[in-house]
Amino acid sequence: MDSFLTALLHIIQPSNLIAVIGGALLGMLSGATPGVSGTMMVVLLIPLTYTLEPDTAFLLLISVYCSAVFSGSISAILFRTPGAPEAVATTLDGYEMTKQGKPHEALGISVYSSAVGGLLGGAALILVAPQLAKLALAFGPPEYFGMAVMGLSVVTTLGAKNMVKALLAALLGLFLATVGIDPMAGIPRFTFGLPSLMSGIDFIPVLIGLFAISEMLRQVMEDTTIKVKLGKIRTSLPSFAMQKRLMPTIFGGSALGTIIGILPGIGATTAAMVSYSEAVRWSKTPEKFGTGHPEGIAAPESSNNAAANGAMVPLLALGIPGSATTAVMLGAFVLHGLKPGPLLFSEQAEFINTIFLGTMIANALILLVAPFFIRGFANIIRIPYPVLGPVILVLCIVGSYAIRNNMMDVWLTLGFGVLGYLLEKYCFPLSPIILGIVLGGLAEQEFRRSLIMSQGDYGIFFASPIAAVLLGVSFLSFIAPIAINFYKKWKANAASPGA
Amino acid sequence: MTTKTRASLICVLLLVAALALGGCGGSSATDGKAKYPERPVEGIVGWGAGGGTDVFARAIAKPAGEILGQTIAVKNMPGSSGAIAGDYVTQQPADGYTLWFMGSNYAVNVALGRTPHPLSDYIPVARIQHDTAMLQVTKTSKFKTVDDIVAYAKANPGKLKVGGTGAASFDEVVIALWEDAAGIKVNYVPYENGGQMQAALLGGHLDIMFEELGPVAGRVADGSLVPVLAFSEKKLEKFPNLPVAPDKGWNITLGNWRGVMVNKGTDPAIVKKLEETFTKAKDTPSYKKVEKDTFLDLRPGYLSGKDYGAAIQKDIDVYKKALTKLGYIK
Repeated sequence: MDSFLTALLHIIQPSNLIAVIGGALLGMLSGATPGVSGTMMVVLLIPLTYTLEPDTAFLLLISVYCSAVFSGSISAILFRTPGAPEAVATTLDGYEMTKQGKPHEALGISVYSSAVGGLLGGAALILVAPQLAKLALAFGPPEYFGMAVMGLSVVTTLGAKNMVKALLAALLGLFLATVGIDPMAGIPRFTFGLPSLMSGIDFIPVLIGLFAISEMLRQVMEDTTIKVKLGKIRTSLPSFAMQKRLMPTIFGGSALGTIIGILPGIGATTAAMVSYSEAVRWSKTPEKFGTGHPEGIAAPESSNNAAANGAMVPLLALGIPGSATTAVMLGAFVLHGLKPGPLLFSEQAEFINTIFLGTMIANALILLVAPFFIRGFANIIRIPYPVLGPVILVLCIVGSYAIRNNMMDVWLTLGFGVLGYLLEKYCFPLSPIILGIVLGGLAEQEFRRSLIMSQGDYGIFFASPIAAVLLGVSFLSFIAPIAINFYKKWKANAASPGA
Repeated sequence: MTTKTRASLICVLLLVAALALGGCGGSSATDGKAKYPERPVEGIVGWGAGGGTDVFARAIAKPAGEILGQTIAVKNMPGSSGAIAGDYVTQQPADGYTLWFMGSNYAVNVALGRTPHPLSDYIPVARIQHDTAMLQVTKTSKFKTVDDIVAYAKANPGKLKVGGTGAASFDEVVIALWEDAAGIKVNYVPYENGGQMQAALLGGHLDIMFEELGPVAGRVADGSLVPVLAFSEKKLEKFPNLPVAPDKGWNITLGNWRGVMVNKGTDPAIVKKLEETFTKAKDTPSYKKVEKDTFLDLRPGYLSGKDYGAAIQKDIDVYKKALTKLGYIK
C-alpha cells in the first residue's frame, strides 16, 4: 500500500498532473476527429516525451490512449461517423438515440459507461495483472477461434426480424474480410490485380461509408429538415435509475473487455463488438438493440475502455503488445531504457504503480472533462444540415484517406456509402456486416492456424475445454432463434389448417 | 424537387467530387536541383506507425534532416508488405524530395512478383541496418540447445511447431533454408504479428520461434526466453556462448535489413549528397542510441549505395529459389 501512496504523491506533482489532464484533452480531440486515431496521436507525441521523465511521459501517453478510446463515440453518436475504430458498435444504437432527439442522454451513457468500464478494467489491472497475464497465455488458436465464432453466432439473434437478410449481410461482411493477401498462405484473394487491395479492405472506410456517407445520402434524398428541435446540448449523466439498470451490462462489458484486451493481437475494437453481441444475446429484449437502446451504448463503451486497460497487462507483465497503441508504447518503453516484463514489476514497483494509478485517474477524468469537451463539440450539430452535411463529407473523405494515405480507401468509402444507402433502403441490417468484417479475419486465421498446428486434425477444437464450450454455446445460440422461428410458423400453420 | 431530379443532382455532385479528387495526388515537379534541398523532403514508410521500419525511419530522419538542412517528414503508407509505398515512390518526380525507407520485404515482394517494380526502378542510397534473426525457446522448454531441436525434428518429421511472422515471408524463407541445411522437416506456423507469436510460445502452443532480439530483449534479459541459435556470420559480442549458423555447418546468415532508396533517374549529384548525409546520420549519437536500445547493433549494417544494390539483388535470388521450392512461385 505504501508504494501506492508514494505513487499517488508522484502523480499529484504539477508536471505529472498537467501531463494527465493535457493528455486527456489531446486524446479526446484525436478520438473525436475522424481520421486521427489515438494511436497516431501517441506516435506523434513520443518524440516530445524524450525530454520528459519516464513517469511523466507515460502518464501523458496513457492518458491520451484512454481518453481517445472513449471519445470516438462522440462523433459516432452525433454524426454516425465513428471517430475511432473502437466506437464501431456504438454507432448502432448511439445515432438512433440522437435521431430520437436524445443525443445528450446517449452521450451521458457513453461517458458514464466508458469511465466505469475503464475504472473496473484499471482495478483488474492493479489487483491481478500477473495472474491475468497467465490467462492470456492459455489462449491458443482454437480458443481464439471459439471466441470469434461466439461473437459471430449472435447474428441470428440480431436478425430475428428477417433472418435471410441478416445472414446475407453477415456473409457480405465475412467476404469483405477475405479480400487481400491470405495471411496464412501468402496468396492474393479477390484483389483483381489492384496493388492497393492486396493488404485487404480496412474496415474504417467500410464503416464510414456504410454509416456516415449513407446517412448523408439518406438525409439529402429523404428529409432535408431536422425533425426534432434540439435544445442546448449537454451531457446529462444517466439518472440513478438508469445507472442501476445499466449496471449488469456495464459489469459484463467491462469483464469481457478486460479479458479480450489482455489477449495479444486482439484489441478494443473486437472487444466492443463481442460485448455488443453478448449484450444482445443475454438481453430479455434483443429486438430493441439497434433502435436506440441504452444497453447498446453501455456494452461496447464500457468494454472498449476496459480493453484499453487490459491491453496494458501483457505489455507490462510480459513485454508483449496487445494492440497497435501498446505496440507503439513498447517502443517508447525501450527508448526510455525500460524493459517491460516480470522484472519491471519487481524492480520498478513505484513506476508500475504510478502507471496503474494514472490509468485510473485518466478514466476518472473522462467523467470530469468530457462534459465540457462535448459541450463545445456538440454545438456543431445545431448547424443547419445543408452546411453541416458537406463538412462531414469532407471529414469522412479526409479521414478515410488519412488512415493509410491511400486514395483507394476514399473510393471504397464512397462506394460503400452508396451500397449502405441501398441496403438500408431495402431493410438490410448493417450490424451483421460489421460483425463479419471485424471478426471474420480473426475467425478464419485462427481456424486455419489451429489446423496447421494439429496437421489437419479437427479434434483440436474439442481437445481444449475452453474452445469446446465456446463453440458449443455458439452453435446453440446460432440455432436457437432459427428453431424458434420455425416452431412459430409451424404452430401458426397448425392453428389454421385451412390456410 | 422530385426525388428523381434530386437523385440525378447527387450523382452529378458525386461525379464532380470524384473528378476533383482524381486531380489530387499529383505533385508539381520543380527543377531546383541546383540547390538541393530547398524544401522539406518526404520519407515514405510502407508500414504503420510504431513498427520496426517506422521506428528506423523516424530515428534516422531526424539527424539526416539536420545534416541536409531541411526536415525529412515521415509519411506512413502501409499495405501489401510495403509494395504500395514502393509504387508511390516510382510515381513521384525523381528529384530527391521523396525517399523510400524500406527493408528486406522489398526483395521478398520482387521475388514473389508482388510488386511491378524491379530493382532497376530505383537507386539504392545506403543500407543502414542489418538485424540478426534467432531461434528462441522458453526457459522451461524441453529443448536446451539447437542440437536437441534438430534431433527431435529428425525423429518426428513435421511435428516441430515453429512460429514466424507472415506466410511467403522473410521468416518462412529462412526457416525453409534451415530445414534444407539441417535435413529436417518442421511445421511452420505463420502469425500476423510478433506479439501474438511471442504469447503463443510462452503459452506452450509453439515449440520454438523465429524472432529478432529487439522485440523480446526484456524477456531474454530476465531469462524467460532463451536464444539457441543466431543466423549471423560471426559470434555475437553480447552473446559469446550463443552458437551461430556457420558453427553448425549451415551457411544461412540472412537478416532483416533496412535502408533508403530513391526513384530511378534521380540526379547522381543528389544521390551522392543523400548517401553522404545518411552515412553521417547513422553515426550521430541520437541514432546510435536507438540502434543500441533496440539491439540493432549486433552486427554492422551499413553498406554504400552500390554495395546495397548488389546485396538486394543477391537476396532476391536467394528468396526466389527458396520460394520456388516452397511452392509459392510456380
